[in-house]
Amino acid sequence: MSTLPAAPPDDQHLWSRARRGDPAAFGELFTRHSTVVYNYCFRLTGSWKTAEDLTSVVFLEAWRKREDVAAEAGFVPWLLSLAGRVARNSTRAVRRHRRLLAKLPPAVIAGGAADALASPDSAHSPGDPPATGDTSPAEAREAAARADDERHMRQVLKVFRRLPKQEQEVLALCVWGERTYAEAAVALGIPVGTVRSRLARARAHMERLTEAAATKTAEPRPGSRPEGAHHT
Amino acid sequence: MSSMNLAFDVPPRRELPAERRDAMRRLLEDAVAGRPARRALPRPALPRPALTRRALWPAAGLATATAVAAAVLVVGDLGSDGADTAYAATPPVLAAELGIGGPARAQLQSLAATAGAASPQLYATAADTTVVTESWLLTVTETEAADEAPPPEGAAATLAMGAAPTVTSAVVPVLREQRLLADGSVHVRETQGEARFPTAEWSAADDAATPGAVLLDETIPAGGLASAYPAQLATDPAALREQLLAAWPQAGDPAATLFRALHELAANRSLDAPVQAAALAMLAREPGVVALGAATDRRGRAAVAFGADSADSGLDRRHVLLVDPDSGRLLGYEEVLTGDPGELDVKTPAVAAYTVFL
Repeated sequence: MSTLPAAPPDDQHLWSRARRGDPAAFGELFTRHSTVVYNYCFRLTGSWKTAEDLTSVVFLEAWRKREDVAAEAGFVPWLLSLAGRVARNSTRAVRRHRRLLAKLPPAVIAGGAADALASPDSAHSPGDPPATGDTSPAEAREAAARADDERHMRQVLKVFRRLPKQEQEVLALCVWGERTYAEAAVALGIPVGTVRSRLARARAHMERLTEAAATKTAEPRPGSRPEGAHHT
Repeated sequence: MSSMNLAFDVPPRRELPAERRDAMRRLLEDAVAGRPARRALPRPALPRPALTRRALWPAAGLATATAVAAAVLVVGDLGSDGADTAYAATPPVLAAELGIGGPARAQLQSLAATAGAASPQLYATAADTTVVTESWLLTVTETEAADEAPPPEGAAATLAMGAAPTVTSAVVPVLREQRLLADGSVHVRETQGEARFPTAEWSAADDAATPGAVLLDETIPAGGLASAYPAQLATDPAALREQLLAAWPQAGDPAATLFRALHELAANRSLDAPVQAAALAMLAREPGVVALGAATDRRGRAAVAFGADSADSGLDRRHVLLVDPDSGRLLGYEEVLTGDPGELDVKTPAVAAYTVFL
């Protein structure tokens, strides 16, 4: 007779252990959610390299703010709300953890927007071809794909950043962070109904801005793939 | 959802590079292991700033972004007993800055007259669009502070998250050029200065930036660099004082606040001779301003120094303005911590910030 494998501990259990100083529990939380945070940071900044840096910062901030009770209401929504704040104040956040970040190996993504920390709109050219000296064809393809992501995301962000801040927050969490209305409400500290109404406004607003932008853009981006959130 | 909505048309997810992800996890685990939550964290006795400006330079973040490159004060691991703390590198205090000081009125009035009569070539005009400064700031982030609160101006402490009380730094100034373009936008370029005054713990590994390295090179759209001060500055001393203090409604020490305000102004826009003359005349009337005598600024230029003491920021601090004796032009601004630095590991008196107007 076989026994069922033990269910992995849930986030709250791990977080509780981490807060008591259990490094492995915190490490497990990182492994579990770093991809979500990484992609969320990318969508907020349009730079994979910046997203790498900010992912570390978000978790360092989570540790710094470990007494924040909001984390207990939903760890991932709380992480993403931290990510939003970190992305908005990236210079301060990075500065705060500069010493620790310096211990990380150099970012490995070629063509990343190194200067996007100061401003995601800075004059970096993400489409610059990646270094080709020692890169394999697979690496070159990956770098090119990421550069394409960056170009595309920056176009999106140009429009997104014209939304009011409150609409940006809701849209980012619900669509790019793939959180439910309820989770976004907890993360933002607002009623669920407000999340719904803000998101509706944000969608409409974004659509109008998209159309306006499209009329100015002669070349539609080929191969774009819709990826939205599923809401309940 | 309509494909005409860019919000739903974002690139697909990607994974963190494995090597980087593993390194991040190790780093985070080290951070947790170095300071477990169960231990009571002694709050740093870093006083909170007592005043804030009514409005900030929105692009101040750009300027402070590069403060990373300035000296960073490292207080030892919070969990340690402090025995392993290191002192931050700070620039030497200028000879005149710690003087008791004497009455400043007559000298400032004289300089105001000099400024008013100065040759136009010695001053900026309305057509001048470029401001160049060299500055350094003792950068401090108070780890346990409220997240959104700005650090005390001119000083804050970076509290090491990890177990190891790491190194101190050297003084690394930032050279900044801010140029107003014809369309109203502002181009800001900041480069790394030369590392100076290294402490014993200074190492090449700590030198994250190379002199001349570009830290910031950005054009801020028109209106993006709104000022806390009126575009049209008064040339009447009393009116100018009112304009400057209006940006600091909570200021407790007007003299020191006026010094700060003048620093902010001169670091962000060209001040013409009538405004600088009004500024000097304004300070001549201000109680609390003392004359500190002749000085040589950090670029070797002859100057006269004036001071104003304040504890507004929570630490005893002397604010110093350096003025060109021949033209009345502002040459520099400095802040010197003069009293108990609290938990800041600097040996006072210590320069906490300086700006040289070039």
